[in-house]
Amino acid sequence: MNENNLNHHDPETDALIEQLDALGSHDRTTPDAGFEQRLMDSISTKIAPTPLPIANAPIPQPNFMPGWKFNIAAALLIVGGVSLLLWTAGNASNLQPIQAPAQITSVSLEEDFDALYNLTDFASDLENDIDELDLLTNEMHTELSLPSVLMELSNTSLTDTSPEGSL
Amino acid sequence: MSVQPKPVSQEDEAIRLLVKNAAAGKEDAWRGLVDTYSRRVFAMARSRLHDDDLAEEITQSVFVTVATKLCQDGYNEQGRFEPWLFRITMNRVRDEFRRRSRHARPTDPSHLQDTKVHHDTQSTPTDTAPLRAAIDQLNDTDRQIIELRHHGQLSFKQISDILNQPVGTLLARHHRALKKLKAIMDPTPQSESSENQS
Repeated sequence: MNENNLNHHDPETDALIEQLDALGSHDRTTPDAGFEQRLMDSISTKIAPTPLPIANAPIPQPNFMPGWKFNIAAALLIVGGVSLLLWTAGNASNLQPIQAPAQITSVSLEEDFDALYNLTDFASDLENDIDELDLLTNEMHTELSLPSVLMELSNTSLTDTSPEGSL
Repeated sequence: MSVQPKPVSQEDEAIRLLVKNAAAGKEDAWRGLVDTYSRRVFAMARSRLHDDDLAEEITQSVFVTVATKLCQDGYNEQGRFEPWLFRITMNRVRDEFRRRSRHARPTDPSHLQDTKVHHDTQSTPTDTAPLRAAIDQLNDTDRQIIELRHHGQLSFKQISDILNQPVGTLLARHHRALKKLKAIMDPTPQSESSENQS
């Protein structure tokens, strides 16, 4: 037997059952077409996938030590620091004086002076060479001055007997 | 003696799967649940409250409750979804009806009936007002059976799960409620009507 159709079959009430079914059907079709969507919108925030557990995980808070523990740790740290400082100062006399930087400085200066000195020598030699060249140039210029050259040329052409030298 | 598990119908299995997926937050499953049940819930609220907007509000409230519970607590395989849903609906409608009754002003019944007739004739050819008025005169239990059966489209077995009453008792109560409705709508004595027929 179909439970959905389980009714008393009474001819007196059959018509009434039909009317009630029609009334129920009418009430179910009363909402407009957007009814379901409005309903979905209203529950959308509730059916959103649950966020990842990490998002809900409590943020670990720094676990501060209790006051007395913190004080002891700070005292130990200070004592240790001071001890290290004292030990370093006590061993300071055993250390060799560092002279290397001074030597390096003097050596460097000497080298620099030598270089400068050499450079000056080179410059003076160069200057002398330039003067000599300048002197020679002047001499040549004097010797090759125009009148004398012309004189020499004219003498040469008159006395020249070689076949290549004839005009 | 071993207890045989109750055979699960294809429809029950489909609903079970739908609810399970809905509890997992799948939107398609929720759309399926809304398509299957929302108008039936609305019709029950509408029948009692005679107000479309309020009925929609109640329907939304019922589904928000269902969504909240399902998504928070997950789906309990042993729990039956339909009885649960309609029990929430009945409680929500009853609460709203009582709230309105407390704040209601005395109204001329003829005016109320005129309003309902005007609304109903817009969409149905038959006049539903006398039937609605007759349903309004039933007691709470009879009315619940009528509305769960004809507006909620539930089987008597499902109604028995919701109201915690044997199916036989419900059948008898349903038949008695029908008789009451008929008597309210047609107050002519039975004998008188039979005389007229003869």
